[in-house]
Amino acid sequence: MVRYLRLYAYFVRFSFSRALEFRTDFFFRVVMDAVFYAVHIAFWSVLYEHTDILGGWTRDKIYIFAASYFMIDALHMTIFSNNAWWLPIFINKGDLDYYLVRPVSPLFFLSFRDFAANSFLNLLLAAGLLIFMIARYPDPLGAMNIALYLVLLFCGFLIHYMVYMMFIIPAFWTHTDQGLRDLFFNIERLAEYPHRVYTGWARRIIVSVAPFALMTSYPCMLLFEGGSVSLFLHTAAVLAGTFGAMVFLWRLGLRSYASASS
Amino acid sequence: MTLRLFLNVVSLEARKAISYRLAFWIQAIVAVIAGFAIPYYLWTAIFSANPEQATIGGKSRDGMILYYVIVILISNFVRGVDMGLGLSREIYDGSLTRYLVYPTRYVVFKYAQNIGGLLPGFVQALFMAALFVTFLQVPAGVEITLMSTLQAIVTIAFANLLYYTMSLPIMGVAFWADNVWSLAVLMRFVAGFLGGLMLPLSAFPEGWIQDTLRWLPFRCFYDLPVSTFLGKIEFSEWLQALGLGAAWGILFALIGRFVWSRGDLRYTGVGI
Repeated sequence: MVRYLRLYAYFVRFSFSRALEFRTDFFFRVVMDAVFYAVHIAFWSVLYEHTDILGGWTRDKIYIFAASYFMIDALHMTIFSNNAWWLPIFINKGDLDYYLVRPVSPLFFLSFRDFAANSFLNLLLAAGLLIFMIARYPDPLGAMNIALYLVLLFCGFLIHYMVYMMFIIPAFWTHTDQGLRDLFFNIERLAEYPHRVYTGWARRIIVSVAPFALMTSYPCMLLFEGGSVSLFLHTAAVLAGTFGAMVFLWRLGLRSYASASS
Repeated sequence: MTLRLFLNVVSLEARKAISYRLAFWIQAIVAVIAGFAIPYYLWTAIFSANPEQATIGGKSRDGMILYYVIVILISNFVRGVDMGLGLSREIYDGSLTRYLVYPTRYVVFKYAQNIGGLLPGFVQALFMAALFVTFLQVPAGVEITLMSTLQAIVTIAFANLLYYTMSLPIMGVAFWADNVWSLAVLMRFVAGFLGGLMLPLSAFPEGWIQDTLRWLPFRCFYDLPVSTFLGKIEFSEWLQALGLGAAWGILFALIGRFVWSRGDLRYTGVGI
């Protein structure tokens, strides 16, 4: 474990020094995400001009929900996004060989090697927004609720990563991630709205097989309404199930990997 | 660029776009399902929470859903194929050089590629439109005529050209920056929000906000084609909106030309 943490520290250090070489791109990324956050907040503001409540949540609650979504997005962009971008290219070119022969888990190495330092500033921005939204919430939320919310939000982030990987790993067979990546981002938009907006089958799907509600909506539900054993069990089961499915798919993919060299 | 060469490039790009057919169809179907499901559930929830409100921004629940269905079907044609990433890569690896020696202008060549990349989407859009026509009812007060359909087609083609023209200065920044992908995404966010992709412009607060939105070029992307198709706009207002969009287009084309002429001087072809 210590070895992996030390390795990750090297990844981070290397990424920062590389990002500072491309300062314009660094600046553009920060502006892009700041505009993304502004557009979302403005979207909810306009929507709440027409209603006081949506999916059972008031305007103040939805702002916390939106900031939670920004956190998940910023964490993903900082930690995993670049790595997931490169994985299909490595598979296609046969560069995966270099990672398979190293004395660390290839899945760990390929998931974490490229820390997006240029998105790190946005992570701080998203965290600042989340703190601001929680601080301006009119009712007391309780320290315990906030702590448990952060735990569930972290679980949501892990679920997001694992589901995303399940859309990338099929590149072992399809040799392109073009359609599947776009597919993920189309479905992922379901997570941008509170799960209670959806009804019937749509809601059942986003809390189980496509667990997008567990990324931001469930943590916020816990924050506003308090937790329950079933909520934690549900999250733990989905987390374990998604992890198992991702590792299974990864191993299956590795078995199909034929390399491109020699 | 001759018309024959233009059409050849269009045809080549169209064939490239459908080279991964399964991904092409799966992505399109899921994009439409997800794109439709979100506004459907969202606006149903809003109208259910406010039963006393029959319309929002002049649209009933069914009218709102119809608006989004059309927006989903036209959005790809308006945005076109993302060119930002391509140019920065071509500058980075030096492959831009070959375009510079082609007997045609880079901007026109890329526009032909953009059109070609969109063509297969027409088949998808027609298929999806047929599905929606079968299952959705056109709400009362909506007048879709042959004339409004033709006007809408012209508006979509115009919107695509305007979007492309507005992307030119952004693409040109690639001569100075290593990656302009984030700028292209930024433009997509802004155009989506202020152009009517995320919300119909009539849902924005009335007064100075709506007045300002009417003067911006983004309106031409989504709100104008949909309003035109649904017969919600007078012919004179339509012409006025296109005229304003054309003025913005000329402005951005001039900025793009300036950026390109300066950037071209900085370019150093590497390799090949």
